[in-house]
Order: sequence, then structure tokens, then C-alpha cells
Amino acid sequence: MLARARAEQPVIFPGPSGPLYGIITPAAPDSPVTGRCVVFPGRPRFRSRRLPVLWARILAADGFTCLRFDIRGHGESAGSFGSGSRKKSTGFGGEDVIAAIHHMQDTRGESRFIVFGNCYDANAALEAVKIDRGAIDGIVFAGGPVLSEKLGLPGFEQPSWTEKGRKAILSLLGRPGISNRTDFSKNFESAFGALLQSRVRALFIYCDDDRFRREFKVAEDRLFAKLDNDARQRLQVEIVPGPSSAIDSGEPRLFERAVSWIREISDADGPPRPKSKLRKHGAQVALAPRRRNKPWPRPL
Amino acid sequence: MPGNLTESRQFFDSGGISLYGVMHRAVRSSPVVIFCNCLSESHAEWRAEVVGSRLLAARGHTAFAYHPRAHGDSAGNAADVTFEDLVSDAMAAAEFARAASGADRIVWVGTRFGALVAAEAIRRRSDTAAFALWEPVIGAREYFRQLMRHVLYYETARGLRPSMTVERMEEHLKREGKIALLMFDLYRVFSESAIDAALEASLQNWHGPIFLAQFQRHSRLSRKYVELKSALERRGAQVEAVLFKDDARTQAGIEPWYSPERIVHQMGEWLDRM
Repeated sequence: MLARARAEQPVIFPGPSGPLYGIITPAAPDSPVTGRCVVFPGRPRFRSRRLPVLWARILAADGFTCLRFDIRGHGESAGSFGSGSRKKSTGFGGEDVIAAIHHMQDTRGESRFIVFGNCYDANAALEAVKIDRGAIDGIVFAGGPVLSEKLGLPGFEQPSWTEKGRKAILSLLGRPGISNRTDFSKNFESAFGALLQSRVRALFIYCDDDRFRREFKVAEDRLFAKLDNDARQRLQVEIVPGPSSAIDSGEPRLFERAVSWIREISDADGPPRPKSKLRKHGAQVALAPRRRNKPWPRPL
Repeated sequence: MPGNLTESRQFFDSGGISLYGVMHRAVRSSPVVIFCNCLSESHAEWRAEVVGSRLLAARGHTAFAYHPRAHGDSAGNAADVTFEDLVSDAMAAAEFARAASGADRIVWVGTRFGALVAAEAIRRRSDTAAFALWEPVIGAREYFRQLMRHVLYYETARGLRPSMTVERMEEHLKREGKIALLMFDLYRVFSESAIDAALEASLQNWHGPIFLAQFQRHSRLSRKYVELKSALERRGAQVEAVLFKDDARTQAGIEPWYSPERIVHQMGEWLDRM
């Protein structure tokens, strides 16, 4: 662990909104070659419980090169603050994740990626699948929001009066299907569709007493219950005991499980593919074509 | 907020521990402004320091920000950290920043609990030109109790029955060696080593310029800061206090640490006058 910490290298790479700042933890030279790079989008890296820092070092000791970086407008990265909106289909930082992947392809010759996102960064990881051209093998969607509005909790996070009024009017207009049903966020809806169309594996993981877990229950009932066998094998759902899925809550069981899942899928995918040659400056890397010819399914 | 070529990031050593630091070089190499933060309650505090460093560098002041041990990208185990370790990290950061920048004087910026650490470093050094306090913690004992009370408020707000009283939490900390607060874990080793840290005590012999920035969204300086200001001025220190002013972002619900520009601008003017 200490050796991995000492081997870390700060990096700056171009992002869509300006330079993005991160830290690379190189895979331990004496570890088995996994051929996979784990990307942690973070907002920002400087967290009190800094689990991404620790997991990056643990995974690097196991042979995974890791990059943790600040999403735009957070930590050291350029750009203005934005935490993503549940009402929009983009803006959670998926483009930044892709920029990070390109940086690792260009400068380190990495070709296969696993993206690990927690809370809103889970949406960044999922959003990246929508833009990716086949470089992502798996994502960890840890404790992310999925609905278009927060579910009411006792004492706080109730829908605004405007929202309540809108629902009441829609109900009076005889559109109960809209007023009585909580919609998925546009971002989650479109990115989940892309995930279904891809070959990317995913682990959706929550703590059982987490506020976002209540949101995810809706997705479990309405989305995951309808998946075919192939999708069920690719998209795993796990609920672990604990009060909160957030990194800052320091619930280690969730993150330990996520890390072991990364090891599992790496092992399951067999021997690593040869690393791609470094991209020449300005040249395009040969990536699998986008699978966006046919429309994404609308299971939501 | 562009990063630019004047920024350099590296790891430096503090008692065998690798610490992450960022140097923002500018026209004026001395004094170097060093940001000191720890036990961050909000991950936006580091953002405020990054924005602050860049704006000060753009104004001509060389600045240095770092992650102390067991924080951010630095090495170290949180369970082992003591207050003395954090002071040692601040001292190591000062040595590194001075050597790297060529500065012979330091302006410290203490953010929240980092103010206590920086004040202790100031007490042990003779090269401090000025001290800026960003929403400083006044004393560790009351601060830890306040954070425990926040846990109770949080549980109550969620409609839960509070799991422990503050006294029970303190007992739990003594017995178990650790307690989970809202944004970080407090360890007995750290709590016991820091419990007597107090800003006024550490600044007993400090009579230089002080810049006090309140990031809370209040129209007046809070009572604790009024008292601190008076106490420091009675000892001969020159204290300039500024308040955070709402902008479009904070009105939209974004926390003040994401909008430090105005306070940094005022701090820049304060530095220019020195």
C-alpha cells in the first residue's frame, strides 16, 4: 500500500470544459497483469474518508492501474460547479470520464476500463457508457440517484410546493399516470438504455438504509424485474447492510464488495487482451464502433 | 478558472510520509501563501483553497496548498494521526514551500480546523508575515462536541430517534477508539491529542496582521468571531474581518465554499497593502 502511495503521479489532461486534474496509481510491477484500468470520477479527491484513494491503492497492488480525478468544477479541475441535474439527460460528468479514458489510452496504453462511481459520480460512470466506444468493460454504480425527483423523507427532502401543485393539476386533468408515478431521471433513463444495448457489466450496489436505496427500489421493481437472462447476468444488484452508500459515510462493506466485484469480473473475462499501442498525437484510436444505429430501448 | 503552467504538483516528505502539494508560482515569490486545512467537513473547502490559490497567484502572490497526512492524496492512516502530526505536516509544508519558492516569509491561511494547526505552527516559527483565518475553529473541545450535536440534529431531521446523546458519544469514543461523525471519523488518538488546542492560546504571542473571513451566510460577524477579534486586538494584533456575501450560486443553494472569489479578492487587497 505504502509503495503504491509513493508511486502515485499527479496528472493534468484536457477535458471538455478545461483541464482535469487527477492522480494515477500505477499497477504494482510485481502483481499479476490484469490489463485493466480503474477510473474513479470524484468530486473531489479531497474527501475526509477518501475511500477512492485507499481503494485505488489496494487495486493497484492487485495489478490494476487506477486514475482518480476531479470532475469539472470540483477539486482542482477547471469548469464551473455543476452537480448534474435529475431533469437533464447530460451533465453528470460522463464526458469527463471519457476524457480520462482517452488520457489513459493516449499516454499509458491502457485499453480496457472499469469505472467506479459513487453517489452522483455513479451517474457520471453510467453516462460514460452512453458515450463510450467500447473501451469500458464494467461500471460500479454505487449509491447513485435514479429518479427525477428526490423521494420525500420525514422532515426534509419533500417535493417543492411547485412540484406538489403541478402534480395536483395533472391529477385534476385526469393524467394520474403522470401524477401518481415517479419518473426516472432523464440521465438515468437514457444511460440505462445504452447500458442494456452494450456488453458492459455493471454492479448496482446500495446500503439498505440509504436514502438513494429507496429510489433504487423503484428501478428494481420496474426495470430490473423485466430484464432478460442475458441482462440479468451482466447487471448485478447487491444490497449490503449499512446506513448510507455515500463515500463520506465511510461504510466499508459496500466498497469492499465493489472492489471484490472488480476483481471477479477481471478474472471472469479471462487473460488480458494485449495493451493497445500508444496513440500517436492527434490520431484516433481504433475503438469498437458506437452501437447507436438502432434506437435504445425504452423500457422505462 | 484555468489551471496553468505556473502550477506544479508533487509529493513531498513529512517524517517519512508522502504529502501531496500544489505550488502556484507568481511574480512575487515572497511571502509564500500556505493553505492549511484538515478534518474537512465539506469537500468544497479544498475547492475554495484551489480557487483561492489560483486567484492569489493571478494577483501576483505565490501560493502553496497541500493535503496533510491521511487526507486526500497524501499517505498516512487516519487511525494513527495526532494533532502534533498535523502540526509537523504544516511545518514540513512550510519548509518545502519556502525552499521551492525562494520565499523568506510565510502568510498562513487556516481553513476551519486547519486554523488551529496553522496557529500552532506560527507559535513555533519566526518567519510568519501574516495569518488569514477562513471560518476558523476556535477551540477543539467545543468543536468536537458541536460535530456530535450535528449527528443528533441529522438523525432528528430524518425522523429517527437520536441513537446517542453527546455524552454517550464521548463515552463511545473513549471505549471504542472511534466514532463516526457526519463527514469524517473521529479517532480517540486524535481527539485526545487535540482536545486542548485553542486559537487564542496558540496566538498568545502573535501581534501581526490577521485577516478573518466568515463563510457562514450571516449579515453580521458571529459572536464567537467578535470575541476572538476583540481578544486579538487587545493583544495588539491588527484584525481585518470580512463577511461572505451571497451570490447567484449560494442563492441557488450551493454552499458558500464554492464561491470564495469575493473573499479571496478582499484577502488579495489585504496582502497588497502589507
